Amino acid sequence: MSADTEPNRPSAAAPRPDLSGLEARPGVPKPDPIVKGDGIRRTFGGLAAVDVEHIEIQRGVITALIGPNGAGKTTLFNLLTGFDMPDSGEWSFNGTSLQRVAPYKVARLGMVRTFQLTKVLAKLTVIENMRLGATGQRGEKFWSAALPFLWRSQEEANTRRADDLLARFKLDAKREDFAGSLSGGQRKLLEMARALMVDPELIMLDEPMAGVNPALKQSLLGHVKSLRDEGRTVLFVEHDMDMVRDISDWVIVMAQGQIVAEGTPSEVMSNPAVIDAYLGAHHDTDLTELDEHEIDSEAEAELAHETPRKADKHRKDVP
Amino acid sequence: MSATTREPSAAPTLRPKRTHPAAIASAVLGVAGLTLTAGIASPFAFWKGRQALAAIEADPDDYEGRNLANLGRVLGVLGTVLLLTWLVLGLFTDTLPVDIARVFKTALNQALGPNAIVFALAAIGLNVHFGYTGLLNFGQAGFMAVGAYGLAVSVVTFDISFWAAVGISLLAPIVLAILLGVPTLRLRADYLAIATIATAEILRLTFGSVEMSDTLGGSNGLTGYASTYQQLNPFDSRLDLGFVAFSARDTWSVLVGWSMVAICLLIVWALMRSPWGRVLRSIREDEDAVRSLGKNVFAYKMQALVLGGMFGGLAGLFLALKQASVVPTDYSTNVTFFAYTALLIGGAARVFGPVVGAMIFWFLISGLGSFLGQATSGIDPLVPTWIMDNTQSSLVRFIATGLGLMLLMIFRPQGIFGDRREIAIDER
Repeated sequence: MSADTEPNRPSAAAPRPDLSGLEARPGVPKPDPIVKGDGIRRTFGGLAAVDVEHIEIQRGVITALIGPNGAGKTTLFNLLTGFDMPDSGEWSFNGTSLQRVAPYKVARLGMVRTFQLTKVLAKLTVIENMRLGATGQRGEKFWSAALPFLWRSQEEANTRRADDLLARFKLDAKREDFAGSLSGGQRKLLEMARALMVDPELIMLDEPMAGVNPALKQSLLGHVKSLRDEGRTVLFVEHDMDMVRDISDWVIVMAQGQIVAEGTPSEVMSNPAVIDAYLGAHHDTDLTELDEHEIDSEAEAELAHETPRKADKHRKDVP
Repeated sequence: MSATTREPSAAPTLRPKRTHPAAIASAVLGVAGLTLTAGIASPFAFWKGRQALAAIEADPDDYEGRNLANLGRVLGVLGTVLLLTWLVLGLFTDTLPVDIARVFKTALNQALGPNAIVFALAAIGLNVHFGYTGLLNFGQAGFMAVGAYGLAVSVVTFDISFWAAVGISLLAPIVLAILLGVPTLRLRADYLAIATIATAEILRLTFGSVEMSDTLGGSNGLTGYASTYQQLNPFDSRLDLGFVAFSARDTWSVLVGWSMVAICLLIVWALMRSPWGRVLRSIREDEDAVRSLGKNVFAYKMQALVLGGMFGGLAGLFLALKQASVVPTDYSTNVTFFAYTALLIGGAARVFGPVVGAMIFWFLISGLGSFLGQATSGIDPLVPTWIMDNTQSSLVRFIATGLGLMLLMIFRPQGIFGDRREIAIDER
């Protein structure tokens, strides 16, 4: 894509930061963080859904956020993008504090998210969905909306950019269809393409692979990698370990609202705490090869071990 | 278990047969055709019955209801004969005690007259609110009331000049929209619905209250503010075009009113084809998605509420001008719901939807009213008094309209102008 249509994207020429030398511990400082957060805490009733002491997201790389169901990954997404209010905590994007900043302003700063349950605009066509993503549209202002000559040229430029993106995501054949008629996987693609229309510096994808068939998954992996290669920062939540292993440069593991581990994919996947909390002891073996009785007895032993630990209500014993 | 023992035809019988919906529709339409709608529904009953029979024939494993469809078809034929008979008798002979030509003329007069204009303007406002933005405003009558009282109170009570009062009447709905919107637009859609319906009632009761009758006129309302408007009337004689006829005053109102409608439609058309309109339609679909793309959803909803409220205020202003009196009962909740009816008949989120809907609504209401009124009056009425008498007939037209609206929602939920594909997306 040409440079003039993507004005504030950082230079793609900069070498990708190498994170392999970084210490693998929760909340480790990064050489060039795009997002920095401290003491972010959100409770629902008595339950602390998110309780993050310190988090930093490195610029220009793909960071994966993994963890068991209910670990607070999506809630953290919501908090960072302003869709939810934390009880306490502060965080910044590119040095700009984002406390009490409305979601639309967060998006305008260049931090755009997608949703776990895709939110396409069902009764708008695919191309209209895309056009909506463009920022700074003169035609979206009330007083100039009725005067097409003020916004027509801009609209045409936006449409060209949208068509390029649609072609890249293989949605160009669906251009004039209602977005509501797309399949689940196509909706994921459309949502990602639409988020790119905002031209974000940081794109946050909430489970981009959920409900996507294997063939499409492969091309989606390529798309996410190409985002990094053009200089964007990617943060994604995903349960698909193949994707995490394949494309992420850094992995953050959450459990029970806290960050329990960080590191490169290989470091994290061999971390016993992560295996305990999330992956399970047999995460790299085929399920059919396992002996059922052995797993059962293991699980029982684990339960017996778990019960007294829960009783003392001290949660920080998770390393 | 081997594969050969499996019964291949077992699968379809697992699903219980169900009555084809068109068969039910046909029977209902057939009965309605012979009773309430005096034959008008009957051709549709026949058509639906045939449709149902064809569908049952094509898929006998899944559907039943052949008898019901046949019943609807037979009743449809009978009703159609009845319809043709009374149309022929009424139009070409004097044997019927009902003057069909007069029925059509009354209906057309209302469809093109000032009443339809009031509802068209109100429905254009609701179209901006509900049709395009998805804001559930159940208080359009309140916007109309502040528009009307803004004019009347300014002139009568505060003795402000007519044109300044028109300005106040245009501003009042904007103020009301902002007052309503600031607390409710950040909340879920249902809260706006509750707040608006309550506000409309509060306004109506306040305007009619005894305590403030010195200022607001009480339940008798206010008069004597429209003389400037009447003096501007260039017509001095009755307008009779054969199929419609208006008094000189109504002719002036019709001219002013349809011009206002045309301007409003032009504004809606110009705005809704722009990126601004696209944001509104997107908000209707999913607010959070729009937020995530960097749009200030609250500001857009507020702009939509103000714009639609202004159209509502215009409807009130026009109502106040054309009847030269404002009375609180003219702004009751059912005005809002009639405007919604007009919008849904025409088709929401379509520029011409509310206007065509308002015209059809008034055509049906007054046509049925005139027909039933004539059919139940005289010494030997067409409809025997044990079915309905003259006073009941004016209510029956609303029953028939309600039935018609239900049928419309079942068979053409997108209204006259709507796009079926858009509705079908929701059914997935």
